[in-house]
Amino acid sequence: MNIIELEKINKEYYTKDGSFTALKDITFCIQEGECVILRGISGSGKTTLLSILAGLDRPTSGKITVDGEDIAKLPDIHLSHFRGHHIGMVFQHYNLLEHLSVTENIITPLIPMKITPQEAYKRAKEKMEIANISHKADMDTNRLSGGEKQRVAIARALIADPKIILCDEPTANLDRANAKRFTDIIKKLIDIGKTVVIATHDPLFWESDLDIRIIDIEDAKIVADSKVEV
Amino acid sequence: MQNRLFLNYLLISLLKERSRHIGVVLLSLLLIFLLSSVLFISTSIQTTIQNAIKSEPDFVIQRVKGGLMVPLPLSWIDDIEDIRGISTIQPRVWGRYTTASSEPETMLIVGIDPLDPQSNRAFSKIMNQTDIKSFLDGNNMIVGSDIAKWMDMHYAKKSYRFLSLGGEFISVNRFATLPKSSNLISGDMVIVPLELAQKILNYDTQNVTDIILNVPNHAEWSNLKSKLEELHYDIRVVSKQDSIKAYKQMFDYKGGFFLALFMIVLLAFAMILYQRYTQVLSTEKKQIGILRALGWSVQDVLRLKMYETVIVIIFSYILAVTLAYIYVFIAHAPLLQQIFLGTDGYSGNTEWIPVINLPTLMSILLLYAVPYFSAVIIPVWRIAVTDPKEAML
Amino acid sequence: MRILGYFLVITPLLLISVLLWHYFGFDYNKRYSDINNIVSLTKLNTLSYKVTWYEPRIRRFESNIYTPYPELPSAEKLNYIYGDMYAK
Repeated sequence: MNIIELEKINKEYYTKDGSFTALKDITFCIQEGECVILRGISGSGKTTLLSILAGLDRPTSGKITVDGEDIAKLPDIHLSHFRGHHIGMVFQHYNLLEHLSVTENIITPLIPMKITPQEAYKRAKEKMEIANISHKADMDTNRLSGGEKQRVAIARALIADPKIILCDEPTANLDRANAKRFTDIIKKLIDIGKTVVIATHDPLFWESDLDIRIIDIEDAKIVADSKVEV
Repeated sequence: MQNRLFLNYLLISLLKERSRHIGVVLLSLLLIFLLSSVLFISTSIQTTIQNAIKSEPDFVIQRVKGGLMVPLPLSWIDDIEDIRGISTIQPRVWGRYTTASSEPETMLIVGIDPLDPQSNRAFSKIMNQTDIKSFLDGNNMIVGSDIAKWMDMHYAKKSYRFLSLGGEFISVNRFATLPKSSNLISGDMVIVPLELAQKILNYDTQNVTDIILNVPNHAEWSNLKSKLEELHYDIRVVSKQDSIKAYKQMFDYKGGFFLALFMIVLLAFAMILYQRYTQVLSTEKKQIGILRALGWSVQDVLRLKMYETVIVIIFSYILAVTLAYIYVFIAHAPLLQQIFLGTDGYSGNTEWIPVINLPTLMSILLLYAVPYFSAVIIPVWRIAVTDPKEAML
Repeated sequence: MRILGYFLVITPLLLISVLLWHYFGFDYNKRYSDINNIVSLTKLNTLSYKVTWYEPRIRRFESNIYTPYPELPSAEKLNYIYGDMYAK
């Protein structure tokens, strides 16, 4: 079953010097439970594609269906709601709220949802177990290392139990050991049935024992789509 | 949406981001504290004056020569008596007496007429005794509490020797002390019988300071004023209405002093708010972008920021006004008191009567809350409605 | 964290105690009647002289307070007073 369907997605940015094409005629589908790597050098358009998938950005033209919903047409309030419930996002720079503790950061996506504090903290505990960060639950995030920050970001992405997890350059700021740990967590996520899309150019992913599909993007277009089996 | 988790989160983010609020809160505290202290004092004075005016005479007649107020002869009473419509005419003898010491104290000597029934009634109420006779036997005085304190310090616990213009010493016994609660009006007062006042202030028995009149028919006031003014070329007639008008203007916030204060406060607020505005733009931009990316709608973000701002505004306002109340009415406004009170000699310690003027307090709240609220919410809204991706950059 | 917590707790408590004091801790009638009695005893509202020092408008019509001043005593008399006072 396809959880993500993109059909002729175009994205153009308009600047003073004219228009700039970030994505051109992107068409592909992702099945539920798949792990997809969007591979390409920086500036190739993979981050733009990821933000369109997350509903953070809208395509200039084309149709994008995520979990049965045409998100390009959703009004903002529904799009925010959709994002909160269906998509978990792990950013390159983690984007944590520095003044809050680990637990508080993790429950942040739950605030607009009608959930009791007990339920929220229970869920946070579960997700922290998955992301291996339970031991730092009460620490302020500005005192964490890069790897720890990323695990917080993963727990936060998981908190609302979304079907889809999107990661933008997740290993760019990590050392090898932490990057390896990250791929282990991704494996866990795939095992529990999440669909994972990772925008990266880190060879670690295709050298790891992950069951992945690689989509190569170059100059705003898809140039290759291949399955790597281990 | 206003669930417990939201309130929980609101409180946590408010507490943990206190450094973002504390500068603005402290400055606003200071400004609101100053403004409300001044307003508390002025409303208290105004109310006290309005209240005191009720017991004041309808007209005061004075004599002015060469621009100065000079004693007037008692014979003027006969002239005034001929005018119809006047119920009471009484002479008043009062004046300032400055002591000759290294730290001079100025007293307000006031002579009272022992035969006046109104004075008798008031005397018995203040002194809790009906017998005015013992007061009139010999040279006695009733002193205000500030004067009492000064006399205690200057070895005049039982009596004080006044020095008349002729070089003659007049020893006056201390009969009683006026209540401290009325210090605002009586702190520097020395009440003596009329003749004694004339002696101390160097009046001869035929001269008095001024004359007071009561005219029961208020419709006649303006008519009577012109009649009085025709009596003598050097007469000055002050009506109660004139006083009321002048007092009203005196502490009105429309008056120059208050206008200046309000302007300064407004300017300070504008500066604070500008600082807050730029701070919102720079530091909160990322935070709002993150929240939006995590699935918060524009409304959710605005709601969080609105509650946060309202809590900060209400609490800092209440704290500042409460502290101002304590400062003015419980601590009796040290330092500020000197700005509001004092003739050359008055260095008294005044207890203000607590008055809360709700409309003024509300206008301070509006003056503070509306600009503050908009300085926070407008930039937040502007950031929140842009693409969350853009806000995170 | 603790300071702001105190702030959130102390402020309402302070407000409540001040309001209680304002409405129950003060005998307004006594204050006002004391003042009114002194005005009716002396027929003089001296408050106006205390608050008017920066307000020439009032001075202009109310009175000139300096005229009934006694002349300052000579040095000889001052000596006498001082001697007299400290001898007590």
